[in-house]
Amino acid sequence: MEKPIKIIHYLNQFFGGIGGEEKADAPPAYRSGPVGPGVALARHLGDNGSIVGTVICGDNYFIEHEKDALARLMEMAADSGADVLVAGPAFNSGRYGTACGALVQAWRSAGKPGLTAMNVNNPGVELYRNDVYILPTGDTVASMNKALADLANFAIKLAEGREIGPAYDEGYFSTGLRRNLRLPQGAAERAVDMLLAKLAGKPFQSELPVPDFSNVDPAPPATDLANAKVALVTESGLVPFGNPDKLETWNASKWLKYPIAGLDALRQGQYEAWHGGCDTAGTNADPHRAVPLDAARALVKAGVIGSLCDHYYVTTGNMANIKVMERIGREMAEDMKSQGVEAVILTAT
Amino acid sequence: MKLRLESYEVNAITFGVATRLESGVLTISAEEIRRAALFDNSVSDVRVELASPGDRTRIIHVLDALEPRDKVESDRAAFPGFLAPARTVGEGTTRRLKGTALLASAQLPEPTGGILEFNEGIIDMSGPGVDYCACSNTHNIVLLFTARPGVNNQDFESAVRLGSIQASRYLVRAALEGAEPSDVEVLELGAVDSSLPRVAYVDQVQQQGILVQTFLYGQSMESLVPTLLHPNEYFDGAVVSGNYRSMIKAPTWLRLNNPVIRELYARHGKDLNFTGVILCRGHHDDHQLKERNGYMVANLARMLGVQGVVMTLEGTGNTWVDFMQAVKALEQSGIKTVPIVHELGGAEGKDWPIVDYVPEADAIITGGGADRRFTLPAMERVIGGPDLVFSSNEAWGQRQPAGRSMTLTAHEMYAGFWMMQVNGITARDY
Repeated sequence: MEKPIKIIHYLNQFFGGIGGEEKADAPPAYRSGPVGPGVALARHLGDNGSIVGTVICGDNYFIEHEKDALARLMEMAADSGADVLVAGPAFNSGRYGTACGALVQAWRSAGKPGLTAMNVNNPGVELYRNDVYILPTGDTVASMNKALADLANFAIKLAEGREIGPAYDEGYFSTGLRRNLRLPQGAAERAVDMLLAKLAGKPFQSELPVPDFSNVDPAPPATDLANAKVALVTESGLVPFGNPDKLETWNASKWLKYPIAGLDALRQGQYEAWHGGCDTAGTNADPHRAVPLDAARALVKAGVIGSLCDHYYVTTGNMANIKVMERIGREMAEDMKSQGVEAVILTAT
Repeated sequence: MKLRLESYEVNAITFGVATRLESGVLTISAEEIRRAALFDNSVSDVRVELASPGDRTRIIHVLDALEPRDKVESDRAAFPGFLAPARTVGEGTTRRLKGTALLASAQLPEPTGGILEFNEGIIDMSGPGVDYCACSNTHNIVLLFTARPGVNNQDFESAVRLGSIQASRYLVRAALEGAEPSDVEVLELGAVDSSLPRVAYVDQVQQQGILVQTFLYGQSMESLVPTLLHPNEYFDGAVVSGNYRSMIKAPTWLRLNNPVIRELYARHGKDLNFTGVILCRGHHDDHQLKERNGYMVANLARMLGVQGVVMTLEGTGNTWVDFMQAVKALEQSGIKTVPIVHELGGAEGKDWPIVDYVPEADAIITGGGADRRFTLPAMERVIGGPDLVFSSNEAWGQRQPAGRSMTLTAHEMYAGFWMMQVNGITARDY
């Protein structure tokens, strides 16, 4: 008997059986039926559905040839005649998670249901959660079995066109959308119920979770500034004219650094601010308003600071995702530490 | 404090020669209630119209809404401080016309603007709008007030309020002559099992100035610091709304029938020990005053010895900060807090839903996103005037025939934000 739901499964080169990191540049490939974790996924689908085929791509190949990889994977997936795309699970693998998110996004744009699963810290979550159902997994393959069971259940729901409820109830990463719904109890009754649970130490779920921005403790002051290497850091979006690395004007996904070794000043017209949250005219007229290289060089000459880092660091601080900004801050700090930077001048807009 | 609240249930309303309640039918003498409401020289005329649930009727330009109530005792009055001394209420016997509302509809004589602007609030008696407005499920006696030429907003709106209270008193006294109550409640916070958690209600009302204010015992709450009330005082109209930010307001009807007070009363002695109401205002002028208000609320709660509070918020924007400062102060005092809020969040629900929050607000109940759109059908009859003027941001100032079908949000509905909460509307992350 033919099983009702046809699934196409996406895997990277490792889970697709092509090879490890040495095969990360493997181009898109198609295999009939399930491969690797797909076998267990098929078991979880039971009589509800089958995996008609598997599309596979190397992690590096996908990232380096995203447009081409997406087109070929989409073509193969469409040719398989599948109804639903399941990608991953990708756990904590950043390139894999990014590919899973991008492919499901493309598949959904074509009007067909799809989903993926990965760990909350996978950058694919923040990149694609707004467009794609992403189920949470543990950070390693140890959580494979539960992830596959969750994917199978959710895939069946999507395929059958059942209504998908709130993120907390259904278990996916919320897509940034809040929708109204109606409950049999009014707010007063629910409030008293919640208060009684809170008072009794029983579990309760706030109907409007607010983010808890943890306090950032300031680092202790530099003890020996006259001998310290200092970095210039800015969230003003100041980049070389023409924005060669395509820094975003808002919701930045990356940070960049540009060389200042041997430069005494940042000339007007050679730099510009890519920032959608403030008036950039002043910075464009004089880039030192964002990156005070002129003043910093003078301080070095005067012996107030030891030396300057050979690059300045930049991102765009505008309508940003907090988690992405935490990552950016961490990555910048790691990079600076590797260069022996001991203090930072951070200019904000 | 013990209150005997007699309900006289009304199932239908109609005009007649004399005002009386018989077999659930409230007959009203239009001329007599008109005379009661036409109280002050600022008002040149009052007309009366009736509307009942299910009618294809839309009511607009509504200022306040009362539930007709009156006290039996000769030395006490409902809505104390207006037309009667500000003597403590919440004791003795009160009679109410259950299932009715007395609505005051009027066009203010002078233009309004800024934080003291009048905002339209629509009441639909049928269709999908009923979930988003107050008084769609009551038999409504609508008093249509006309301002005398040259009168200012302040004198006029005061005359409307006093006229409404006088009409309310008239209705109860005339209709209930010799009538028997359909239901009697004895409302008292009696002694309960001492192991039950002590719980208070924190009621933050809107107070910005003339046209956007709240009265306590007849006096505007402008200079009020947080204070303690017995819930029974609410049942007798100690708190009266003079807030014409119609979508965010809690009209006096909702103060008399406050859903949180009703819920806490219903559970008193069973699940909790209801200890009292802390009344405070929002929209303080600066952060220090907002913080001060929060700590004073928390201090009262501590002195009551409560372990938990439920909070409600009237208003939006600026006043969120006052509200959240109170949440913070309460939680930091070790008092478990559940705030009830409305959300904004844009038409699609993609924007940040609330104006302010503190990490201590870890148990929020929400009435859902008030920016979401819905469509009201055309109505056969409009009470209150031919046109309405939209007041929400994107449609601000647009004038259109009031009886038309229209797509709008709770920002255009009478007590829309509160009624979404009352009617079980909420929101979740998707």
